[in-house]
Amino acid sequence: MLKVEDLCIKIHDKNSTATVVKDVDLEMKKGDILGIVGESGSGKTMTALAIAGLLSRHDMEKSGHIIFERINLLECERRVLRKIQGSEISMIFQEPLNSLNPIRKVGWLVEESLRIHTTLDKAERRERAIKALRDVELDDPEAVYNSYPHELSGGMRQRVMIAAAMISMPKLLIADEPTTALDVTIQAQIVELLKKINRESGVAILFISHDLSLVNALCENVLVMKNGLVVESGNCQNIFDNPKEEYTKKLIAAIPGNPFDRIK
Amino acid sequence: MNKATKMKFITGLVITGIVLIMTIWGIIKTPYDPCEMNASAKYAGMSIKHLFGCDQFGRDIFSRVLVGVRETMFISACVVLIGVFFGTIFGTVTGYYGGWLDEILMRLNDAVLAFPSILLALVVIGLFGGGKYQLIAALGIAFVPSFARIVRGEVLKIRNLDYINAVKLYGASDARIIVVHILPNLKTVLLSSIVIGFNNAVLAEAGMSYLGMGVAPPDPALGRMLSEAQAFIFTTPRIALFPGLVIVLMILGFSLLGDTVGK
Amino acid sequence: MKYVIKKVTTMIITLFFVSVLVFFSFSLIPGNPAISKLGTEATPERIAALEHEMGLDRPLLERFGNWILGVVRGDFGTSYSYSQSVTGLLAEKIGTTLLLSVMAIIICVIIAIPLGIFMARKSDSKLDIILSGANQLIMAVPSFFSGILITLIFGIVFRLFTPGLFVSYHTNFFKCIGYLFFPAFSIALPKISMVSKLLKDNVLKESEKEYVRTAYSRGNATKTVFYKHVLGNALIPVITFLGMTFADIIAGSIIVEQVFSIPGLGRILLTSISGRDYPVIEAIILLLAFFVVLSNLIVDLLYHKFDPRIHV
Repeated sequence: MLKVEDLCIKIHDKNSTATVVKDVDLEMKKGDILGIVGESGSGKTMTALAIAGLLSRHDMEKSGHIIFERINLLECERRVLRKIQGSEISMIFQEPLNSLNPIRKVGWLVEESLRIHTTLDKAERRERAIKALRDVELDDPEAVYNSYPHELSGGMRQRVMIAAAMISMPKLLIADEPTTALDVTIQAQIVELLKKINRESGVAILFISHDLSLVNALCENVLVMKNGLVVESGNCQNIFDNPKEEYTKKLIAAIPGNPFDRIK
Repeated sequence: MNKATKMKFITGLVITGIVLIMTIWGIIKTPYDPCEMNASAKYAGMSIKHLFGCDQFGRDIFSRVLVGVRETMFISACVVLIGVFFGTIFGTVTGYYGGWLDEILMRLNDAVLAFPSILLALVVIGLFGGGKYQLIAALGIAFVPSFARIVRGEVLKIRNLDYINAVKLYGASDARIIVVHILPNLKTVLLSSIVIGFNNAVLAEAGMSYLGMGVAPPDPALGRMLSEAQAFIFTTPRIALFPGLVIVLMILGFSLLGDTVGK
Repeated sequence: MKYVIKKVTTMIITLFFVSVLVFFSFSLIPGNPAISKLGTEATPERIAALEHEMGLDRPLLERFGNWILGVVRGDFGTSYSYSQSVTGLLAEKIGTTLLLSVMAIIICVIIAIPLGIFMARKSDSKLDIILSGANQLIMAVPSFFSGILITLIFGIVFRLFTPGLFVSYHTNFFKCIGYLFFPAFSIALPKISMVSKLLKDNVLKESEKEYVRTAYSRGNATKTVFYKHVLGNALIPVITFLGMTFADIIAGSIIVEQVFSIPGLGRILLTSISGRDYPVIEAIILLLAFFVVLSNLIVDLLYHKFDPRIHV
């Protein structure tokens, strides 16, 4: 379904060029959950944004292939890319409050992809939105539908983001540090929710995090990134049990307390 | 400071420099007596003798503009001084002590701030009559609230810093804290608000003297020169053009500096 | 609804304070209006008689009470110099000044918002640099000077209107609008520069925000991201600014009325100040205060509608 080959991203400053992502390869099949871990600046978010087609800045140079359902997202027309964005590939972000337009109601925001990609009428969109809000286990979907983002708690906002991303039943959900801004207990709930959604709808999830314990709780496979390079990849449990790279060992050591106590 | 800001700053500096030269020129000596009427030079055009030409009474416009700039600068400087002085006192006291005094003064402040300074000045002049010093008093009063608000905001910020608490632990008195530790920190904020205040004061003074509420005739004021010249706009628009352009120049210089100072 | 009631109450209290301040400051200044009306040679009897007629012999508080009761009923007393009721004197002039101010703000919004959007979309191009420079210059031109320039260009060179030939809106509404367009434009001119610059800066600031990235990730085109997401947020500070500007525009109209010889509130305020016609001055100040406070109220309510985060 998704195949990334030799992805390189360079950022041109006035007089210098920085390579933020170098020769990244990854592959995902339908229903896969793949994790990418690394510290900030490791290029994991850049990789995710590139796959979501959200890197369109002029000072960037991208090379390699991002093949999604036989379409090369790096080379296709913007029109084709836009057809895929929000309908086949959806994304959720780190700061749910900043990622939601503050002056629009939740209902409007959740329905956005339907307005863009479908011809459903108002009542049908509303029905779908309420269902999507219920699917992300929000207690009172009708009330949430009519509220503004700032009236909700952090965890509820991230559920709203997930509902908005999942309403169009995409094939791939990219989650860029979706739990970093949340409390530890809510982090666990969101991870459980993502697991459930993956199980029920068969959506593939690309989960970006700096927290190996979360990745381990959710993903089957993992890429470990450092300075734009993939330093280690493979089955999550294997890497967790006997990490080969010094860097991976450090990441595991950085998990506070016993990681398995934190998530269930 | 990026390139565009730098350009703005330099342009502002040059323009303000020109205005300052004109002010000093106006203080020292003008080419002609600005009030002297010369019947043979009525409506004289621009020449080496009369740089900007002469007006309907044969008075040298260049000399009148120089004196006008001097007067505007003097009045604006006094207005800004009054505004800064009382604004700093009110702002510091209310910001530092807070409480009911702060509540009342700031409510009053907000009410006054809601009115444009020209309207306020007109009210004060309605009460005390017109003239140069009444105008200074009127605009000065109108300018206090904006400075008070800026200073108060800054004092509130500084007051809550850790080092002020540390100084308090050492037993420093309130007066000492205000004079030694708070006032010097207001410099940056005050500098840019003084420049912006100057910009507004020039605008207000020119407006008031345009309405005939400033320096008394026959002494020249830029605003009144404009309103008097309006009668001749059909025939000799030049008489209105020069005082107007000089007002624009003054405001432009201060606004460019105000935008860029402290960046 | 509760919010509206609260705001209206504050508005009434503010206006009451203004009226107290205005009445007492004008009552306490030295000088006897009866003497100034009759001249210093008048006999003490005649002065006393006029004082009685004008109500000046009664205690200050009683006079204030009578005055404020009159004001509530729309009666501002009698003008000293015109011997006519202030209300009658001001009625048409209020309409003229309000029409001028409202036209100025409409012109400002109609031009500044598209201009701001245009400048934001072309940001960092040569055109943007030229427009920004022009904006900076226009902001420095006071409305009375731009008014003179506009008279010169449109009144005298192009003859689009006849300077000095104002037509009342009672006589011919459309001719009146036609005449007021040019003064309204000169009041609006510096505000157009400020509003378009503010809008441009805000659009650029909002475009950097994370919700914009979310909007793109849903498959929005650049245009829809701009109109459905960025613009609404960027307009919020513009609305606050327009509200504060309305007071400025009223003040500006007082000056510009002089430039274009329009018989509005500004004109009569100035003659009343020089003629020390206190009832008229008091009435005008109170009216202007009313307009300023009312415009603040309208902006508060609009703001509330535009920015759901503002809590009541």
